[in-house]
Amino acid sequence: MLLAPPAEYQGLRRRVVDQFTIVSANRCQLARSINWGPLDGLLNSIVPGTGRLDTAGRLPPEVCLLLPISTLPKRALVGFDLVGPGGSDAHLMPYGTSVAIQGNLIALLAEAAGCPLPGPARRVVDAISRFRPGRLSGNLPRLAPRGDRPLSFEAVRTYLDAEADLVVPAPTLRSWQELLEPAQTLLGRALDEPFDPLSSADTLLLAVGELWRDPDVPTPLEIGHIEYYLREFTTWIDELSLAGAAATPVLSTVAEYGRRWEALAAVIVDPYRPCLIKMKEERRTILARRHPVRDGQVPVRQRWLTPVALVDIDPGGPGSYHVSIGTDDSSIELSTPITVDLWHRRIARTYVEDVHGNREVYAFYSTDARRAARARLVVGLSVSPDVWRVAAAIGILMSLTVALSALPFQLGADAVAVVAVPSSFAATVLLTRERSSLAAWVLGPTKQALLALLVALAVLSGLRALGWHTPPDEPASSIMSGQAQETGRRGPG
Amino acid sequence: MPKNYGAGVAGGAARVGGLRSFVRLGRRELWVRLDRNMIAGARKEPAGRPSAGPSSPAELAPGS
Repeated sequence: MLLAPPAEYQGLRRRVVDQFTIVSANRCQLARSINWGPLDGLLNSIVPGTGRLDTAGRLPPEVCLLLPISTLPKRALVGFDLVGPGGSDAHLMPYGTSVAIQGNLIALLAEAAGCPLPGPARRVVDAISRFRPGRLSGNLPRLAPRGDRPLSFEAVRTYLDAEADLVVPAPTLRSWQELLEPAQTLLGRALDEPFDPLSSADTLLLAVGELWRDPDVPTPLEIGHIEYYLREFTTWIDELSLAGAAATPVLSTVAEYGRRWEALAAVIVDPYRPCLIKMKEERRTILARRHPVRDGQVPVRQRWLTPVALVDIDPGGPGSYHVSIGTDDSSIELSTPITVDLWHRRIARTYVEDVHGNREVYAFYSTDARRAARARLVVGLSVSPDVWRVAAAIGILMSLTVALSALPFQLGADAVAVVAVPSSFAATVLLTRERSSLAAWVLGPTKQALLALLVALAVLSGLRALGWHTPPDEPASSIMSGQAQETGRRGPG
Repeated sequence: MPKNYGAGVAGGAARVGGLRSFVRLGRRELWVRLDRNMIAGARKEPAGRPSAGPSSPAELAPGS
């Protein structure tokens, strides 16, 4: 009920605060805190109804509850930390628990939509939740598709054989694929997110390999049994599709649990007080050299020259949502983020209410429930002016130097030595180590250009030393020797 | 929470029976519920199924 709260309980999850810190070019730390209101009203409506406990109008001072933390993408957790109310222990529930709860939620949603989930179809729904893409991409990396291309038929067959111990004849597997394709299309349309080949709802055959892991599936699991489960599932999806808009939340939730899962924390709370749960996690920093938004509102300079970081946020659900984005590296500056959907289309209305922005941190706050449930922030990254001014000045000097050396002027060896002076500055910039890998990544193209100019200058200086366009009349004279001769002439006089 | 959960689900009087089993599940089973490949039985070779291979979690972590 806390995962899909009805109107009367929507105020229970009061506030979610997300703090993203881009630590380096590869790591981004997320600190999330979830503020729950007093849960006594909800518990008083559930607990007496079960008949297990006579609360006599008053709940115990401490109750153990499973509270949802976040809907996380299916990948290994890195640097995960969970703290319960008042610094107490909070236990992340086993994955099997999340699978069971997700199945219960889908069953309740389906019942509310008027299409109850039959038992055999529930086995497939649980299998979709249970599949983890790492089983394929971690154990059989050569089968993992590149980009958003769908998994090939042979890759699925090899996966089922190697990882699920399921040898399915090719004609049978092909018939299952044909059977599941309409359901896949319906689920994809309801979720309305980009295709993910390793989502078990987008490639339903991947979920077939999870059926035998279900404790409620009879052993041994024969090919005929699997087909029975799949037929029951597709029949249920067909029934849902006839229910119209009422079925969209059910289909969308089934599709979502193919790519994400509910992290649930077991915590001990006082039901009469609000509580705070804190979570920390490390995510991968997604960086791009070019701006992913291709509309006319993004200035040309920003579109082609400013690298960006993409941060996935899930502001959905009731209550207020706060998010802040910053970096650990003070030499990096952030521009005002653009909120886009998962297709990289600009979201027209973001329902932001308060904003705080400076060069290092950007934060906003929204309480409007109409805000997008899943979104992405595109944050422009640049180096601070003290760094880019020096890099630009040296870049211009080096370009002039290389141009002067490359043009067929006749320059003496001394002139070449003087002209090549900026190369020492360029070498200094190249040898300086940046404060973080993020700054190194942002400055990467500038440094590459400086390195190319330095190499070009070294080659041209070498050519000139060998005699290319050297003045023939003064091969041995130098500035210093010329000055010495002048001084010598003036001295005695 | 899911991206789109519609009007949500309520615990009305009609679902008390369902809630009873749900709470029972929550008290004990959710902690001890394991996949079939996480329990000792998974180590046995089921009839008609080829060997699980070295990458099987049951073989990698016996007793887990």
